[in-house]
Amino acid sequence: MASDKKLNSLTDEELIKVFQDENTIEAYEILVKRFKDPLMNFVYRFLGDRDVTTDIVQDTMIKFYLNKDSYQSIAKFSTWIYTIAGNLAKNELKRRKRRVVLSISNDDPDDITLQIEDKNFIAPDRAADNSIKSEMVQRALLKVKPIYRELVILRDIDGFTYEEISGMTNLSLGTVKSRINRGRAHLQKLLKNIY
Amino acid sequence: MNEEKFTDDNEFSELKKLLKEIPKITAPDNFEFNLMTRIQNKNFEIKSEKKKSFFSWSLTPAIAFAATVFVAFFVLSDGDELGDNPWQSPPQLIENQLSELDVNQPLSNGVEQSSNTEKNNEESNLVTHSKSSVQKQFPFDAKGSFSLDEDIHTNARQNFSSGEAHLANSSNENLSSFDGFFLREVKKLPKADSLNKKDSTSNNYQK
Repeated sequence: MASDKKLNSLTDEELIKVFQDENTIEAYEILVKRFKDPLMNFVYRFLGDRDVTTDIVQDTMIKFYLNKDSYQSIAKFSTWIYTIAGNLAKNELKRRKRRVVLSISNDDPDDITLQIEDKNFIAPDRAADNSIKSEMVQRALLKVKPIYRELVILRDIDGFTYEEISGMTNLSLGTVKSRINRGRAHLQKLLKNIY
Repeated sequence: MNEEKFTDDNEFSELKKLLKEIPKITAPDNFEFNLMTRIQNKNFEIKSEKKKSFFSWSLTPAIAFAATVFVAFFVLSDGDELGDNPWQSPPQLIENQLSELDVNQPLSNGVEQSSNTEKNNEESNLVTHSKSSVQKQFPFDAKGSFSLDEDIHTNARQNFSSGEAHLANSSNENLSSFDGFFLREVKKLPKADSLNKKDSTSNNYQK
């Protein structure tokens, strides 16, 4: 119990160090507790499917357990685990791309956009309700190209810095900023009825 | 200059506020339990990757091409067999037997001329027997036309003298004798006396 309290007071990086060095499962469990909800939120906003999100976050934790030694203390633990989750989520999206009805963008053949019918879009006068608003935001997010969507979620929902996002996505700082800006602009256009 | 524009977060302040406000998604209650169970059972199978690998395997172009060729091969080969028009090609059984006959014929002639031994005679007898049996069994000319009416008439004439008739196109072994149509005398069956009396009384009554 005392050791748990002691572990709880450690930072993420200290905890993974304990897990790496001593193979302490309690350290791993604390990290899982800390990151399961933020990762669920990130993956759900990216994919829009709760069941698949749960599977992906579980897989992320399994990968973390199996590859704990590949983490290097030069990076933040959150950056590392978000990278794993992001890669799994992107793989899932690619897999879906072949099955779900999709349209390929004319500008960039690598980018895809999920086709969600506009007729299901809720009228602005009913948008006062928070849950409806939340759903509208989610639908709008899914309409944004994945390469922009991921960065907007990381920045504006999960609150990472541009530098951290650059580290996670292996993109230059300029690319990160420009993509976030484009994603926001597209999102703003889609959500103009809300505010 | 662009860099400055991109870093200007104030432009989207309302949007950012909206995104911050949306409710957070939480993990299911049994998330940790399921995870620790998987770890304890050493069930490290990555579900999302497994799905992906299966899907990509099924879509591998080389495998898809090979499967198509494989299926097409069987479909086309079956199609050839089915595509043969039975009316345009001679029946294989007859053709094989006739060709066998052609091969055997010169051999039998040569044997008859050259040797006088019993063995050779037996062979030649066998060959001629097979020839006649084949000819009897299949009176048709493989390359020419065949008149069924003529065949029936000639058979009928030949058999008329012998007093027998045969079914057309029947082999020697399965000859079925046919005596022809005859008028048969119907013998009066002996009537019972009571019936004869009945007849006579009815005749008298009519009179």
